[in-house]
Amino acid sequence: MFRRSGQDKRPQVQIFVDGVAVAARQGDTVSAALLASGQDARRSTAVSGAPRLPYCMMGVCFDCLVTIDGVGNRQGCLVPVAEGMQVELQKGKREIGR
Amino acid sequence: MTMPRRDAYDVVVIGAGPAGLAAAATSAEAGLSTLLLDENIGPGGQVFRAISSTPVTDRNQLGADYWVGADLVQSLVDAECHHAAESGQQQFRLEIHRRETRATCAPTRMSCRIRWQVPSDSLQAWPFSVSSAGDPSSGSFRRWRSSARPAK
Repeated sequence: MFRRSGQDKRPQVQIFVDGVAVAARQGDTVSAALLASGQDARRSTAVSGAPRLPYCMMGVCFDCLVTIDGVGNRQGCLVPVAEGMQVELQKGKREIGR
Repeated sequence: MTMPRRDAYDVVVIGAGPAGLAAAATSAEAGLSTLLLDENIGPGGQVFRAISSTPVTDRNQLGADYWVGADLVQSLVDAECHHAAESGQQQFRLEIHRRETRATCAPTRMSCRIRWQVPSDSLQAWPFSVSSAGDPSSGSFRRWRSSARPAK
């Protein structure tokens, strides 16, 4: 869906999306890394289960909710990637206790 | 986790967008202790997003107006900046104190005291929300200034 600019020379950072290794770049937000990953990064909404991708990329729309390192309902567009980060695409509501 | 260097500031600016950057640079340059808070990874807000970290090197690609933001960030040398997404700091409480400096009708001084709270895990999903200083709906930023407080 998206291609990285050829000017992007930042070092790689490896994250895991539902257990699959994804090459992100240092300084990426989780949402940016997901959109650039080429994988199906759609979450599903809590009420109807409709598929959603990150949309506003600035912390407003909450369509980028993911589970990061075991904590649910995090806005992927506001969280920078870190080496070894475990991201789960959130299907439906945040689970109790996560 | 980075912490603020002081426990009180003359001016706290919330939001490091164009207006917030200008406000913080202006107040710091005037000698007031200034803290700039933002929920994003770096300064710039939406207009100058990622201005200090963008991998884009071709200045024609984003246009001259975008790169104005780089100068704005450079002008922040005297202000202390904290980015929640970068520092892991998720929550804080601002208390605004108003102190009469004299018993007469002299101008009052105001200072912002910041109390930092370590977030619990359950709060990690909810970084503090900031309203943009540049958002027309929020009106212009307030500027509390009279005489500068002496540094501690």
